[in-house]
Amino acid sequence: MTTALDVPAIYRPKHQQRLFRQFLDCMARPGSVADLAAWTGGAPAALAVLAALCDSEVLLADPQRLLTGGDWDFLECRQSAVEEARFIFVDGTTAPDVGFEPALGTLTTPEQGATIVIRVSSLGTTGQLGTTGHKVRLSGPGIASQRELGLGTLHPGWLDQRAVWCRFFPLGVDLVVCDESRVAALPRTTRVTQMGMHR
Amino acid sequence: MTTPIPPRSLWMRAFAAAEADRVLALAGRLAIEHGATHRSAPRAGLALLRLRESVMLDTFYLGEIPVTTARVALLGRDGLHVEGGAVVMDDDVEFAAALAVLDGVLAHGLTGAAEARELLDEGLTQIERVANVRAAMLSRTKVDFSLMAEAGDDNRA
Repeated sequence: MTTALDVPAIYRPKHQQRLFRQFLDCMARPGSVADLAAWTGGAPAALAVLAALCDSEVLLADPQRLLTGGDWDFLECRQSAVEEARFIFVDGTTAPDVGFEPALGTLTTPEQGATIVIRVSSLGTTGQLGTTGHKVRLSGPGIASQRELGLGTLHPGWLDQRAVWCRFFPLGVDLVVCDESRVAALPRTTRVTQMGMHR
Repeated sequence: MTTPIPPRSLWMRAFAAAEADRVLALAGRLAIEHGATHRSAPRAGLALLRLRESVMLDTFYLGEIPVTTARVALLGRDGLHVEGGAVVMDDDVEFAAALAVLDGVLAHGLTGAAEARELLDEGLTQIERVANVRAAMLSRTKVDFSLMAEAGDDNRA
C-alpha cells in the first residue's frame, strides 16, 4: 500500500528464510562468519537471528533488557527467566553474571539446552578483523582442521563458562555471536582454544 | 444530524464491505499523513473456527477460515502514538493493514476520521443491502405446512 507501512525487513518471510539459511550454514561450519546485512534492512544481526529463530512458542530471556517493547511485539516470544529460556540474548562485553545458569538440556533431551545469542562489537576471521579483539582457535565437526575466529569485545568469561556448561556432552549450550551485521556460531560440539587478546 | 457511530466491533465488517479500492486509497493517504508503522508483524493464515454445540456444550472445530491480522501505530494529535488494529476473514495482509489504519484514525478521531466514517457508512449500507437480498431469498424458501396438509386432503379425495 505505502512505504510507510512496510514491515521491517527481518520480519518479512522471504528475508527470514534467507537469514535462517545463513544461520544454518554458520551452525554447520562453526566459526565461519556470515554477513547478514543484505537481509536485515539495517537491523542488528542479533535481532535478525532472533527474528529468524523465535516465534510465539519460544521462551526468550533478555536479562540485560536489550530488547525494546517494539522488538518484543514483533518477536512475539514469551519472556522467561534465564534458567527456563530456550533462547537468551545478552551483551558479551561483560562476563556472565554470577548465577547465570542457562538450561543445558538432559541426556534424553539435549536439544533443550539453551541457545545464547551474544552481541559483541566486531566479529571476523583472523585477518579480516584487523588487530584488536579476543581471538579463538576452533576445531571439531564442521571444521576441516582448524579455524580462527575473532570475537571482538567478547569477555573471556563467556568462553570459560561455555567450557563448564558443555563439559558433559551432549548437554550444553550453543553460542551465537553477532556484531552489528555479522554472525558466527559456536555449537556445543566445537572445541574452543582461547588465543588471548590481540592489540 | 449525524447518526451515532456504530460499535467498534462492527467496523471491520463494515470497512471490508466498502469498495476495496477506496479503502486502500484512503488508508494509504492517511497512513502517510499519520506516519503509520506496523506494531507487530501482520499475519495471514488459516485459523480453526471453534464453536460450542448446544446439547452437551462441548466445543468443536467447524473448519478452517482464512484470517489476517494487522496492528499499526499512528501519530496522534499530541505527538503520542495511538493504535489501530484489524482482524479480518481474508488472506490479504495489505488490506488488513489498511483496515487497521482506518480503525485507528476513526477510533482516535484523527484527521481523516470523517472520510473513514463515510466509508464505514457505505459499508454498513452495503451490508444491509446484502442482508435484505438474502432475507428475500430466504422468505421464498419458506414452506407453509398447513397448505401441504390441505393438498394431502385433496389427494385423498
